[in-house]
Amino acid sequence: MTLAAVAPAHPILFVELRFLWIFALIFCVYWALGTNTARKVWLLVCSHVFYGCFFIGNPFGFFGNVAAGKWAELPTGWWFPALLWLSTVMDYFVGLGIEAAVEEKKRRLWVAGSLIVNLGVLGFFKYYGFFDQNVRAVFDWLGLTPNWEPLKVFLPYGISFYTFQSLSYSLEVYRRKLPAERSFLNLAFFVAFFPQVVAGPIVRAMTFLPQTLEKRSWWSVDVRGCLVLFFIGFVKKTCVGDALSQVADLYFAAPENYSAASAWAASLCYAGQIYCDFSGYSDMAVAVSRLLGYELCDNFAFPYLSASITEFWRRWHISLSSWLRDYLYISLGGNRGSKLFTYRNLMLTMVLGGLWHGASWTFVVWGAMHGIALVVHREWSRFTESAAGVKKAMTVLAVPLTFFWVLLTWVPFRANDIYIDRANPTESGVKRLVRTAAGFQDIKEHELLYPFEKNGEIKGQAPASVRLLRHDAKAGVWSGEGADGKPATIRLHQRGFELTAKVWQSMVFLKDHAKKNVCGSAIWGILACLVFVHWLNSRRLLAHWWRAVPGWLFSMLLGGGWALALAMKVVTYKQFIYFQF
Amino acid sequence: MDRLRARQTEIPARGLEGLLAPGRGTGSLPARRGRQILNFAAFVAGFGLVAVALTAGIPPVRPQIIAAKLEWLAAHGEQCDTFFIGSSRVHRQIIPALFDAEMERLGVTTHSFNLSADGMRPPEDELVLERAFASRKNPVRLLVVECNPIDSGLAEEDKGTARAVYWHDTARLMRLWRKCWSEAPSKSLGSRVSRNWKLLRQFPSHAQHWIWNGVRLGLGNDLLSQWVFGPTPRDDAREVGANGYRPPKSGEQMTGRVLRSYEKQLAAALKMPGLPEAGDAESQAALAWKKTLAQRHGAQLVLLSSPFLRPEIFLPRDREGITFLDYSDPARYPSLYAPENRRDPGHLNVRGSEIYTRLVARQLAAELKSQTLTPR
Repeated sequence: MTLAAVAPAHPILFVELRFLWIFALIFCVYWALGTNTARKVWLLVCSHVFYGCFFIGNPFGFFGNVAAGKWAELPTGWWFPALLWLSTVMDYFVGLGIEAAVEEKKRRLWVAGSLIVNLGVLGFFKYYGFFDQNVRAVFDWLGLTPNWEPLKVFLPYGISFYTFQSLSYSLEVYRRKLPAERSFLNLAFFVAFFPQVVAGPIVRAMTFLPQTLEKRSWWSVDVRGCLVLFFIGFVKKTCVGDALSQVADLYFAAPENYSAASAWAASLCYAGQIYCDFSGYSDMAVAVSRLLGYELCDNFAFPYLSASITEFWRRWHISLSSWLRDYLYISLGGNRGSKLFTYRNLMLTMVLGGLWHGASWTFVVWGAMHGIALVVHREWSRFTESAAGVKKAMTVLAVPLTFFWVLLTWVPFRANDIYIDRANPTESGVKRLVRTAAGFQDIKEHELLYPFEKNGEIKGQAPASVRLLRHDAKAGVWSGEGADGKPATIRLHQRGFELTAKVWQSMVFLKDHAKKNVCGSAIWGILACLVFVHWLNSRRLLAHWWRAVPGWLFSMLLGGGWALALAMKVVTYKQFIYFQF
Repeated sequence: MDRLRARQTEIPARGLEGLLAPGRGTGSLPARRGRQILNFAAFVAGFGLVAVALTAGIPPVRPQIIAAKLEWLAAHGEQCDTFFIGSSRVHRQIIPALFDAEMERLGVTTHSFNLSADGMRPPEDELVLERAFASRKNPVRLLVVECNPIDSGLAEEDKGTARAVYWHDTARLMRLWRKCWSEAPSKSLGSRVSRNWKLLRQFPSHAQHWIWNGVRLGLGNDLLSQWVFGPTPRDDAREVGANGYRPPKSGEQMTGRVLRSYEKQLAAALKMPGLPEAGDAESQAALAWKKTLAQRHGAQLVLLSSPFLRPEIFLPRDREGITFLDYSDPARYPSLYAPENRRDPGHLNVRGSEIYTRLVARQLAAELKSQTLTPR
């Protein structure tokens, strides 16, 4: 049974030219409108259209089909945007309910309702497949045959982000840090605001709602800063992140084919990719939002230069880590108890944080590794309080050690791909593949790690076991061809831990699985350059010179910069990594 | 230096004025507007200057298949005297080795090369021909071009790819621009816009590709990838080795519903063949351009109307100096339309391609011998 099939044909990416046209329209109409309410209504409508387009594709085609009553031709996930409304409406009434309730018990009931519904919806869409898969594994282990049909559930874009954002409102009203929002418009606008609805930053109600009260002034917009920030985000994503992904994708598709040096190169590239991809997206989201007069929170602060894992979490995905700290860690009791109690809370917070990223044991391991590191660092800090000499000696090693640990954790995080074997076809584990291949067919094909045929051309890269994967979009059938060229049934499965172990062997014990290198030694020079630029930027040495130059020169440089960026970008658009969470 | 530091510490410029004069958001409205215009012009100038520098200094990013063919031709092309160009209906249906052998058997010695690529239609083929013949010294005998009107559409999945970008130079853009206005040329502007609206709507996408071509979209990344990964093994080496021919895709014959539908279409086409259509003026101008190019290189232009069923058959308006080989009539060429010789309704399979190549060779050899064509 298909509950909600493949997500949408055309997610709109900030790096696409069509976004520029869409934004230009939104921007011009927004600033031309006279009243704050009109502007908010306009942005709310645009936000929902923007988000809706992720699911319905071309709105004209979609509504044409609706008008013609061609229900069968609607994309099956077309109703996903309603979940955003559900979350908004519910939290609106929860907020009012909490404020109106006099007794603490009633307040708790209201907030519990919000938690149950919000997390229930998130849990169902995000974790149903994971749950089903594991229950089936247990049944298998017990020698039983599960006799229920699995539901095909796909994750709506942005649900993890807007659920947390919306929850922050209920929780802040419950904690009496924020009055309940009387204006439904303001709350709906806060939840759906298009620059951050799909992949954050997760903005707190406390930060955003006060901004909705006043009409934003054009004269308070730092246009030059916004343009530079957007440009930097674009460069990070399309010129650096996507370029680095080529090495990482090739290696992680078959680490057994490569040397230990390749493991290092690919892991470093992946670390660079995920940072540039996500922080690039955040930069663009913040810039777009600022151009409309709204401030979002910062999401990154040079995390790879952190001197401890605790510091890393103050600099990486700040909006999520602070959310987890304030609403999960502190709610669990934080450090207001014994040492063991604190460590339990730390571990729980990080494991749940890992699970927030995706329903897979590899994310659990990723979260647990960070939890362990936080516990160890806490103990270490205590130990070095009384041993200043050791602390000083370790200062030099702090940044590399922290980075090394982070790098190791990225391996299971990245190892969440689906791989193909020539065995019995099965539905298990195909979620990402199908979502990737069918959901984003137009722009995501390069993301497939397997060669596949489209319009007669073979695209993608060859893993060891399968030569070619074909997708018959009309019939919705996958078929494979083995390395020997003979037809092969295919089995798609996750091999996260197997792959993680292989990469760790190479990274930690420098084990060569094969002599071949994933790429030439030039990659080390490129990585060194990137680290240098990153370091320079962290020292603010590149931060503000562009503010000091005359306007015409700034514009000219920006124009030239865009031309160069286009020359340097990876041509095919690559989905933002965090869109899948 | 002190002044610079002082300016750096100023409060960030606000509003659009920030683009013009940091820290100064005041001034009269006309002055501000003037600065905004200046600023925008400076942005365009900066973009343009870099684009011009890139265009002048670096060749466009060509798709692998085109690059491989052009490189091969630059090195070995002088030995070839017959060139085929067109879409997959030439790329995968004209087999140069077989063509040469058949011509040889009929007493004409040729060495042919297939310049085609899947989906290649005017004006893309113009650019490829221009590049292929740019530094050619030896004369060409036959230039065989698939007879197609200018294709002003861009497939959604190709947009932004090297394949769509590389041929969008100024000459091709102008060709498309003229094509956009080719309907109802003598009517009023409003009427012309409404008649050409469908084409005009597609033009911004071409203009965008022209800009991308100007900034050599993705070239830096390609070079970087080559540096990091080494030269990419060319899938096309095999194809270039076969004188530019690529065998049809897998799936040798039509079956089931596709076959039944094709048989119906064929029966209908036998009753009512496709109607001749001269197309728009710009498409005819593109054919004339090819004729001039062929003449410049001492070649005879041969236009090929490929064997597949369609309601309208595009024909050259002026056939003087052009040989037109028309395979669009299923009644005249039943073997080319026989289901067992077709891979799909639009394409021949290997057996069909062999029949087709032989037919073309025979017809051209006969025309060469009868002096309809001027032998070199």
